Amino acid sequence: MSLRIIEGLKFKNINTPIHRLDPRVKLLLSIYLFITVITFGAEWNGMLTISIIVILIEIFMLVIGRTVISMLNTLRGALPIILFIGLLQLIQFFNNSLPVELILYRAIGYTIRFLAFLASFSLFFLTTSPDEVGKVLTFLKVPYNYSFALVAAIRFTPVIADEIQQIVDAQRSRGLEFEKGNIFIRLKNLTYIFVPLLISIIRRSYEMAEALEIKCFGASKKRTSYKELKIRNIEIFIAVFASILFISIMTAYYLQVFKGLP
Amino acid sequence: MIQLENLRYVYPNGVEALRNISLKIWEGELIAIMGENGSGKTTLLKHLNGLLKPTEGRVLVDGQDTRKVSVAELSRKVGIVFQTPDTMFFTESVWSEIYFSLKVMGYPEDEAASRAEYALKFMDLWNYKDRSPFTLSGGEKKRLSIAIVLAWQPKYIVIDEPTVGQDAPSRRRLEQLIQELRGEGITIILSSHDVEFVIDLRPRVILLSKGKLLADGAAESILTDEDKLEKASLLLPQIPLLMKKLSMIGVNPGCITVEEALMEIGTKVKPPKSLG
Repeated sequence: MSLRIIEGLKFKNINTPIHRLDPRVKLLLSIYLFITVITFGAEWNGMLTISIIVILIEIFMLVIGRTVISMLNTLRGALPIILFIGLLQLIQFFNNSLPVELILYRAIGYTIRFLAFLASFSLFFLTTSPDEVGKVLTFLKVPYNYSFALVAAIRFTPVIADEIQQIVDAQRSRGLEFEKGNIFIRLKNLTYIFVPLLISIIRRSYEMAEALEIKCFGASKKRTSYKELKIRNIEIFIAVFASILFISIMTAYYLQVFKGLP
Repeated sequence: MIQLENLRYVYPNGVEALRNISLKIWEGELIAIMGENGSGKTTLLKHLNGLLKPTEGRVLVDGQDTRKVSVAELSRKVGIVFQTPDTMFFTESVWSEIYFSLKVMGYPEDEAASRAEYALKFMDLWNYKDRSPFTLSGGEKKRLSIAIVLAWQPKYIVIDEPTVGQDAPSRRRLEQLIQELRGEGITIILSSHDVEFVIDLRPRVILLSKGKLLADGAAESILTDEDKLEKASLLLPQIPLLMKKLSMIGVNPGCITVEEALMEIGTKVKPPKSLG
């Protein structure tokens, strides 16, 4: 059983220009890429073209951020979903009223859109430390209790992934075969993973709550931070440039400039 | 027999966990795989029932190459008890926890019931059969996880870190149970860095360090060799340490149990006259 999809959320501390980029700018870029991908959903209105351009930008950033291998691991983990999206469109071949080229266009277009969508999230989480994610949320005026909960969730993702692997190993050693049987048997088999996992997560959350109490979490209303986020001029330039580009593309889309484009 | 031939394993993240390990495990043996944290003990154990497949080399279980047989099939011969028992449990009672595995393995109902009863009684858990596994103590959970495996009577039982989180009475009971299982003719392979627990069992010790095989031999020779233990980041057990310190007065430093040490010291040290 593969847990590689979680690789896409696992931060690796490497010194690259993308890692050093202000997390607020990085989030802004990821959101722009994400919104662009989900906006261009209409057929023959630039869906495929824009999705490919977004993917190329993401690949460029992933290469600079030296996180291509982690992203490829995510894609390998997400392969069943990617195939499902593509095959769901190809089933339309049985629908004789639709032209073949439209079916192929949809199958390729939706698959590439999904990849671009997945990469936009991964790009941010692969290159931003959980601490920086917390700081971005504080910057966005998210109450610390909530931002801490999210940061803790990100931090614990690898731990939970490791725990799932241990449970899977333990159950396989008892003779359970997760890869065998029809879809209903496979779904039923998942309960043998979820029950121990749920119990472990609840137990861990109690332990963490106690650890936080011991460290006087929430005792002071006004929190200070050892490291403050500081934006550089080049980062302001990147953010402004990306915003202008984003607004231009969106305006062009609504003005139907891309009409007829694949 | 389990045979490891030039076993090398590299995790997908590039960490080389096992390097060129070759050894043979004979039927009926009691083996302790020892080494520091991260030495490759658990990785090695996971190769025994095919959970991990060798990157290079091969593992043969009774002549069967683990790369060519499913985990489910190998588990019938090699039962693994993991370090954290909670990862195994998901049913509402101790009884159904054992019964479930037997049903998965295809045993008919009456045979599954009699095997479950045997395993629970062997592990002193019969009185707890209707309890939720999650309400058991650490020692009871460990015994239940062994009982689950014991129920289908595999030829080899592998126990990963048996003493983690166990109090003194539970450790003692585990020690007895391991000896009793051995008496039943089952090959026991355990991994541990608990030298005190292992030395009392007097197993064959396989010492690992950084994924390499450092030493392989009787507990008496390996667990009294401070240099080898130091290389595996392990300490000398208490009795060999005491005997080593006392060797300056001429006692044999090779003793490993309290009884042996008392006898040896008794021959060298005369009791004061007041004690007769």
